Amino acid sequence: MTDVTKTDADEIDAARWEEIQAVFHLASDLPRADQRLFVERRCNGDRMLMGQVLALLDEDVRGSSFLDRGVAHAARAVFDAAGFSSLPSFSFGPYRLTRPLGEGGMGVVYLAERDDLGSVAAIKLLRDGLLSPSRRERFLGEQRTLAQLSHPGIARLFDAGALEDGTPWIAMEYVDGEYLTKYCHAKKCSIAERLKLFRDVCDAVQHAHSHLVVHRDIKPSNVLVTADGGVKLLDFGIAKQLGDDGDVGDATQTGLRLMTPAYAAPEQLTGGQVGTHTDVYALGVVLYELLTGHLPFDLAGRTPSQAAAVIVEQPLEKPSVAARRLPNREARAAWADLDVLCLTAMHRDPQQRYRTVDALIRDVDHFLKGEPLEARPDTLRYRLRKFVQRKRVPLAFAAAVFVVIVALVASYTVRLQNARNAAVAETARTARIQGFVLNLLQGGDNEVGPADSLRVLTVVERGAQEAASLDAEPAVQAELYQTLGGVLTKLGRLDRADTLLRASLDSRRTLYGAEHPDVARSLIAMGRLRVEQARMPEAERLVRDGLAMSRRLRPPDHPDVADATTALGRVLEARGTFAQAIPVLEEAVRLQATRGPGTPDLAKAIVALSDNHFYAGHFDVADSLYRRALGMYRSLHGEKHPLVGDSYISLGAVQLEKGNYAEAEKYDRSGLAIMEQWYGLDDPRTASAQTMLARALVRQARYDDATPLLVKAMSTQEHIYGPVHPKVASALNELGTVAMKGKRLDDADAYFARMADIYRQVYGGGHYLLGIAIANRGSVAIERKDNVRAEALFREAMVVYGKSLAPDHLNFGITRVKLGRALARQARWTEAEREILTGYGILSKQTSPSVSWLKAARTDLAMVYDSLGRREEAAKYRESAK
Amino acid sequence: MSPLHFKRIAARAMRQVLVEAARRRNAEKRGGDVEFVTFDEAMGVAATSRDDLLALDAALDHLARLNPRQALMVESRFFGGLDVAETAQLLEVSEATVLRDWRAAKSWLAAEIRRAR
Repeated sequence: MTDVTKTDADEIDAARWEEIQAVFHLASDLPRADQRLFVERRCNGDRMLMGQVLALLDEDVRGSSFLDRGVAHAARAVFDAAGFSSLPSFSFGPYRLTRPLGEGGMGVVYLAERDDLGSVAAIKLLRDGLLSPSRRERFLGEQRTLAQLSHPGIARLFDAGALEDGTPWIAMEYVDGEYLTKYCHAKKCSIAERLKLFRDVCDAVQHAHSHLVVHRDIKPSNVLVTADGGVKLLDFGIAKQLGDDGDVGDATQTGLRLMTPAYAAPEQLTGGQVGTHTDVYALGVVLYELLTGHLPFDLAGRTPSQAAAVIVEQPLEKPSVAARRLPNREARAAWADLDVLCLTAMHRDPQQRYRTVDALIRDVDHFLKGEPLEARPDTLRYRLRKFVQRKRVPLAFAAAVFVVIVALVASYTVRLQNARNAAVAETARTARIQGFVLNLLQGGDNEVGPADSLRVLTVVERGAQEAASLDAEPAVQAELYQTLGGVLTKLGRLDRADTLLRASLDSRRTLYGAEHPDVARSLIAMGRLRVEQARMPEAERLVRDGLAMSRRLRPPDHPDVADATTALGRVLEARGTFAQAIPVLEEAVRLQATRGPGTPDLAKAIVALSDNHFYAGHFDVADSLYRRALGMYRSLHGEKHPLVGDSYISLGAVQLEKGNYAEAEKYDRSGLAIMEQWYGLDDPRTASAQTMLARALVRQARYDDATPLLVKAMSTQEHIYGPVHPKVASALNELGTVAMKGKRLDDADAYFARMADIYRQVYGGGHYLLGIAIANRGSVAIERKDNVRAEALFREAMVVYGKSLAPDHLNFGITRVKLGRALARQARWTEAEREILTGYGILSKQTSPSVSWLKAARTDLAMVYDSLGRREEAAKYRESAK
Repeated sequence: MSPLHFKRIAARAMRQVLVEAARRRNAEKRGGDVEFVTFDEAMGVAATSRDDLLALDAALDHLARLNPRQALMVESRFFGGLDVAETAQLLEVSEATVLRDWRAAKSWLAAEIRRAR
């Protein structure tokens, strides 16, 4: 806002613009010094025109406008800051960002300090992660890779997390050092000193290889030497996980585009198989450069394809020859060995290189000790040796294992640090890492394949096996078991989850005694599992114990307390005691809200609260809470996220209950589309969505559309949860309803009977869902004209409702209307009138007048009043029944 | 649809996406409860560029009233990445005309953007 003088550009019109341009074009080709005079003369006293043209000429000379910087710059300005602007200062856990260190292909790196430990770290943040799933995947790939590696020569991973918008970040060891070649030059290192540094680099690479990681971009600028002479291998950004099947071609392509050609192996350039031998080659190039002071091939000014041709075809000058230009005191014999070392590592044929980095290291050691090399030409056995197929990992690594190993690495790190501070940091870190993995499993990234539960399961199993071998680290092991148990619970592998969570709890009790924050967390995790197993009384006991313990040991605003409170609310909900759950969940929402607006945990608590309002029949409250959650999830995760899908389905359920079936169908279809896309067709969550949609279709009498959805849903549910589970019961309910509408009454009764059995076994006798099952059998009885039996069933259903629902709950209304019909058909008019009227009163307050129950109630009332001889009342209801 | 027209439409879409995103970001910024810790400088640059983008958008609308062909040209070149030959083909004018128009329009837009700061 510096220049407030208006140049009247607003007032110019098309004709004026033509004038301005005419003068501008004439003047713009003149030398700058002559322009002003020319314009003055040309404008002939029109000062406004003169000003306008001169302003244009100024800009023309400047040539540095926004437009000159290109659209990419503009795009970056808009999107780049995305991560930052929504970045509260606490988002990186204990780290406080101090200054930017640099920018890589994938992200921005910042130097950060930890106030609690007084240490520094490098924080890497993926840029535009939300815009590009493949970049995000590569970034996560680097995390996975680093997480597996723990070696003094590799910058280690401290911590990982995601911002609220899902942008992943990692905290790594900050390395303050100099590039390998620069260091050697500056220190005037001897050949032996260079070889020792080189050996350390090899050692780090060998460590990576032993974890099936190929670096693929080894070069001196990725190797730093610290002040104490230690080497650090950096940037696993294009590293490849061996056995990462299915994307060989693509990974090679990626590598090709991103790697540095000068250090690229011929097979990398020709699209051949990339493996540990590729890194051996790059190490050879690094050694060559260390020995000779320059690169083996001069690639300056060449296009990538020319460079490739040079590397693949041009003969290589021996290091001994290349180094003649350097002053050196190594003997000729020594140089002969160095030639062998270098050229064996850099052999064009991968099969004739050192087969492993270990073999290279052995020869470096031999050289340093003055022993004969193993790779002397006369002892080269590699030539004819069949290339040994690498051992392949059966499945690609997915998110879970990575986090499991993150937890490992980070725990080791923490262990070394100040114990008290570490304990504080540990809690927050653990929570973040767990949140991160669960988040990845449920959402995060299409390309990670969270939908592929089987793949994730295999990966989790591998994690469990690794954890099992950690007997010497019981605390770490217990943490891993808890994480894996939580993942397995979510995936529906309940028995396996049970084993792991039990082991975690037992181990913590042995380690810490009965009273400890981690024991409390184990209790909560067990409680959550018990809910899934439908073992409700146990679930409630576990969660109440865990919550009480957290409250004793933690400050009131600690995340553990908030989490445990939400868990308790969920258990009370699962037990069907909504009136008790609501105040608990209101407390959970309050606790979560103190931890920041728009957090995923807050959204979760809101959803739990609205679920309970929904079940309690407070549909308008539930509707507005679900909408709030939907808004939060959309801005947190985008449109296609399963949590967004869940929200749609919840909103559909509200509409269904309110009798707006078409509206419900619309929401359900939106939700189902997201679930199908995310989880695939054979997933319990897709099945639930199918059931919900089928329900909306059934209410619209579209039975043929609904039946296939229901059959599919039920078989999925049975397969996942076993035959006695509420989800199966829910599917049976729908199938029964459809069968009844299709007049297949025996089928319908059998479905409802099985449904009632399941609810009775799972919840005992007091859950409203059992009431619904019984009432539905009553409806079948009415269809069969067995009115006595129907009456008995409706009365039984209302006894069950009475244990958990308020007297004016919708279910009471519906059942009373039905009971009234059973009574009317027995000509018990007065009793019938009472039930129907009461039911009608309840229903009309909560649903729209067009709902079928209300219509049926009016017809029945008219009939009852006819029979009672009360013609006016009969006429009134008959009139409104139309 | 010819590839050129496709590019032309992509340019329009790009403009809309960027401008909308910039508006949203600025709205966020004005929301006020966001804490900037150490990014003041970077944020400043980005924020300025966002404002520039919005100013460009407004100026382009104005230019469209003065000379629709030039506005279309700037949009296609800047937001759509069309080169001179493609732009000439799209607008059915000579490449020399494109260059001439581009130079004048760019200077005028730059002045407008500067004025809006």
